[in-house]
Amino acid sequence: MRRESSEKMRKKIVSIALAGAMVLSLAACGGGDKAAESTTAQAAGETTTADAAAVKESKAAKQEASTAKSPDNDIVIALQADATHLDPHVSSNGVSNQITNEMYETLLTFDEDTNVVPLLAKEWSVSEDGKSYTFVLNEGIKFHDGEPFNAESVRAVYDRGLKDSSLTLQRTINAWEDVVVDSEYQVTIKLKEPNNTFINKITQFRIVSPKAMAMENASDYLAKNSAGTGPFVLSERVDGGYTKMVRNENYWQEGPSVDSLTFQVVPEDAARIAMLQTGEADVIFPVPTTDVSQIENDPSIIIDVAPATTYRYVTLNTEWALPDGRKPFADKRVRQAFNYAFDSEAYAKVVFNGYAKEPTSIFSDSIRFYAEQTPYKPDLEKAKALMKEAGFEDGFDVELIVDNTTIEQKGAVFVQQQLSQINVNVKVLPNESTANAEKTSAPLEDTTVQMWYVNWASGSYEADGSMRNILHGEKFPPEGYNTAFWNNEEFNQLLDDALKMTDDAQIAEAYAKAQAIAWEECPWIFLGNDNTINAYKTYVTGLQYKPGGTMVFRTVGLDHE
Amino acid sequence: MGRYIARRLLETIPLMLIISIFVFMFIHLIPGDPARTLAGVEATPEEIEAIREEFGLNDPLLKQYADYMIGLFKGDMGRSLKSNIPVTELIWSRFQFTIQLVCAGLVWAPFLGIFIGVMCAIKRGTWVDLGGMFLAICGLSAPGFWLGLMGIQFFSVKMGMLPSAGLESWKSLVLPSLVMGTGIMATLARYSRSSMLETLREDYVRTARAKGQKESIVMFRHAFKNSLIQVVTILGLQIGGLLSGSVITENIFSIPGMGRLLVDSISFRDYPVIQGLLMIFALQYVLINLVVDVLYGVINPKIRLD
Repeated sequence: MRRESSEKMRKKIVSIALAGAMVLSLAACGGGDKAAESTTAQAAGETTTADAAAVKESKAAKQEASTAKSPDNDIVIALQADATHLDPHVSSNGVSNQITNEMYETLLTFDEDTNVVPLLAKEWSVSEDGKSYTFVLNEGIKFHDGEPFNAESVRAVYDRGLKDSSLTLQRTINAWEDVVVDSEYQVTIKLKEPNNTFINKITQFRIVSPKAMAMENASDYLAKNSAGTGPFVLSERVDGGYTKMVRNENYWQEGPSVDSLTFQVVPEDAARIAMLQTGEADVIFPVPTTDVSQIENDPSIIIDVAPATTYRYVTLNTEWALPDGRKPFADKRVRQAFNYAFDSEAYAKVVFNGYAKEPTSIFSDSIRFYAEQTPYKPDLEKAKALMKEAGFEDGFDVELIVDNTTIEQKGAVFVQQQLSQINVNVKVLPNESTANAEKTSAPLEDTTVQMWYVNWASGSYEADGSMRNILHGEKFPPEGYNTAFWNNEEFNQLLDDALKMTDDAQIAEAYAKAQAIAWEECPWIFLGNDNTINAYKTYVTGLQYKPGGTMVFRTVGLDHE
Repeated sequence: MGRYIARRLLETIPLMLIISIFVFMFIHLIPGDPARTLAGVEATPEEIEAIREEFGLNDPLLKQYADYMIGLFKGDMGRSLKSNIPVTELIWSRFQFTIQLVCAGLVWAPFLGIFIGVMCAIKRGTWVDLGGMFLAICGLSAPGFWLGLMGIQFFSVKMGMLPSAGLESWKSLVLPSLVMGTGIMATLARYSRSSMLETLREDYVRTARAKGQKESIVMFRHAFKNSLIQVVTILGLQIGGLLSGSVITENIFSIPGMGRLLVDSISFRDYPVIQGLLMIFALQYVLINLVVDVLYGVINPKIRLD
């Protein structure tokens, strides 16, 4: 019996060790969902205009030719990841917004071309000084819980934000001074100072029924019930499984014709594609660029390539010093040499199967106030000459951190290969996104970041949001993600000035200057924009888009039996 | 027997306490911050700070641990940082999916595996042995995700016979059951073969034969029954592995089970959920081992449990 019990003890020890090892090993490989968890869900790209037209035409032809019909009137969308929370004031990432936007609406919204258009507000106006915005609201709209939508309910959302600073609603309202109810259907939002991003940010200000928000555990209630004005009403949800909604029969404008809308979480790329092929899913998002060829010839499937808003780049820490004390990235010539050594066209082909666009500025051209710059065409001779001039002819060793998803690592290895041409020896350090987020938020004195392969998309598609957090001198971590630790006074000033401007021409001029400075200074290696690709059955009708390939199902229908 | 089980269950308490300390330490050793993940990349430091405060992440680790343990003794495993759903509720809802998968794997795999193994041992050196072991090697070498995706391609996309995702009817369970069971089937086939071969060499088997007993009785009453001891041990470990390691099957077939919950929670740094899951996985190993030990006594009454 002695022997037996020592064996049992061993088993126990093994189970403890297993439990521990499981945490660590899973921590090392659990970054798979990152693409959809972060703003990458907004990822997108743009084909050239000619391409886009051709794509549109072939789409229409395919839709017409196909006789496939849906067996039911319930639409199923397979997404890579789940919403973090269904309370639209708690969650903020792309995939959460994709799901909550079908239940909650905003005063204004975006159309496909990044124009701001009315939604719950039928019109709006700005005061002379640019500090107050007045919205005239649509009348007769009711929340899912029966409460009426009016100016008071707009004010109530603002109050919720004031009360709870842990809500992501915070960042929408932090530049606001007050919200004034002018009449039942007119409301004025007053700003602390003029802010050109206000109108873009108001598209993230989701209106929730005041009755629901007044509950003691509002977030818990909203996790299980919807209380918006949107075209769909939450019916059931299995966390990590699916979120099912039914059509809002009292929707205030032309709505969807499908009976229900289900977002199903399908993390595996190949499984999403199989579901579309079998018709178990009607729409899938995203389609990995490497898998497009698998389904593009299927007559019952349409592939949509959306314009880019996600911008990819590698930050170069200008304060980082080699063991001998020299700071290679403090020298503009080295930073430029990196860009001349990098072939962004090849990058698009190798990493994204061609579904990407070369960079022509420091953010995507589908963002307003984008200004085109002259691309750094690959020129090894010039790159080598610049390195020599800067005294780094023999290169140096440098570390590049990157998220551990397949596509990110592939990109980082491509960067590594490109820089080896100018004798720079890059060590790629892949890690989980959560672990990288901690590294990259360390302040200058503690930072270990030398180069960071990353991407950025402004959630509200504005120029300021596309630059400030990652390039402004006041946005060194932990304030922001300027891990290049690049601090250019003129650039900072231009951004700060532009933010308070009210005249579009002046704003455009300031942002154009800022883009030119950063482009010339190269705090990053500019990589480009990849496309967001989604696919759906030919019998899906009325699908709309927001910029960056975010789908809108407000008028969706199914051609069914 | 009853006293034995009661004693073993009591022993579980200090063991779980030790496990809880390890798990808690491990989780907090991983770099990463749930507040930052929840707030998203555009969050201000103030926002992150507010969330951290709300979650109690600013408290000293010792206090966080003590709070957790006090809650645990009251039956409260805390709430998910991500969804704010109580951890017990969350795990329970996920458990229902995983247990279906596990059962689907267990209804056929152990039986087929043991059958193959025993047949191989009896027909050692013949083509039956060769074929059986070839099957076992294939089963062991085929990665679960490959098997699953091939199954989807063939049975769902090409033949249209079975659904490729979700758990809606018994049909949805067929492919996951294949993926869950194959490894167990193969492992058990190999173990039961070698265990059977070992017992076939025992003195009591020779004695039984010498007594002139029928070969079938020798095989099944004397050899097979005794060879099961090893097999049951392996089966116990395999079941433990199934419950906590079904993540690949769950991913491929889009089933929101415990394995996926664990991976998602780790990448989010959802501490209470990770902690809860690991405690449950550890507990489940302990309980399965207990069941295995009790089974020893049932299979061979000479093994006394005291």
